[in-house]
Amino acid sequence: MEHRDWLELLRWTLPSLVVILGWSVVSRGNDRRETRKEKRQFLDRTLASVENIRKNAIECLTQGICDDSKKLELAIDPELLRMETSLALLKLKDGKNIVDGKNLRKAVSDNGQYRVAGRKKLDMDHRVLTEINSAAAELSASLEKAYRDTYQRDSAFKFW
Amino acid sequence: MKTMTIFVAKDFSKMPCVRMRNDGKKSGEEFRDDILVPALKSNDKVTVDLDGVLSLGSSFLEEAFGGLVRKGYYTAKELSSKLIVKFQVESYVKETWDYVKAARKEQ
Repeated sequence: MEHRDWLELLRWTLPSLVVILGWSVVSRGNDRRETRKEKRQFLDRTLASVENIRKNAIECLTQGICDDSKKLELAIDPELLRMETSLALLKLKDGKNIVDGKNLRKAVSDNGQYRVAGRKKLDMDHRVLTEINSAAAELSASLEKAYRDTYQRDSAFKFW
Repeated sequence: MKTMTIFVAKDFSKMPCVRMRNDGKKSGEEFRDDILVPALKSNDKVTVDLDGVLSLGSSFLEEAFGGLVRKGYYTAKELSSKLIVKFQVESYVKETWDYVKAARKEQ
């Protein structure tokens, strides 16, 4: 092949290569953005679930045993399980560990009051309620931090 | 080797929650003493399958599994070779074994 033929070949192939390369970069970027968006939506639903559990648990425990508090218990239990399932799917890491809802679950369901026969209603400043509030706040904060560390750092530093 | 699987949702309750019998129905104490301990005593290996439950209280898990060590039925080491805990959400399984490892036999 002569020098001219090479130039002719390059004249045709180079623009095509640039187009393919550009498409690949844009497509990867779009995929990453979509994944980030989907994760964010999923995370938002999980955070809403955490808040719901917190509110329902406090409402339930500040009432004595009655129909309303039993209805709340029936709502809280499956939501705790759904929240944990969502967290397992999200797999967000805070440091080395995947964020889970163990502390919130423990604060809600292992406090000597929840679903315990003959329990009395709790005062608003009761230790159990404070523990539920802080466990929910800590979980939400860990999730937000883990999301930021995973996805926002990605978008800032990873071009390719 | 004799093995057995306990399907908690089917054999016990879909909503196990509280710790002690006094706290209410379907407690960790009831599950441990009436189902789990007899199964462990008459089998070499027991699988506790938690799939299908709609809720799983931490108090239930601690009393049912941590209670095996606390009440002196088995040591954590014995349980690690005798007991298998299965559940779709891995963090509950980890939590269960954390309770077993953390439990100390009552004097």
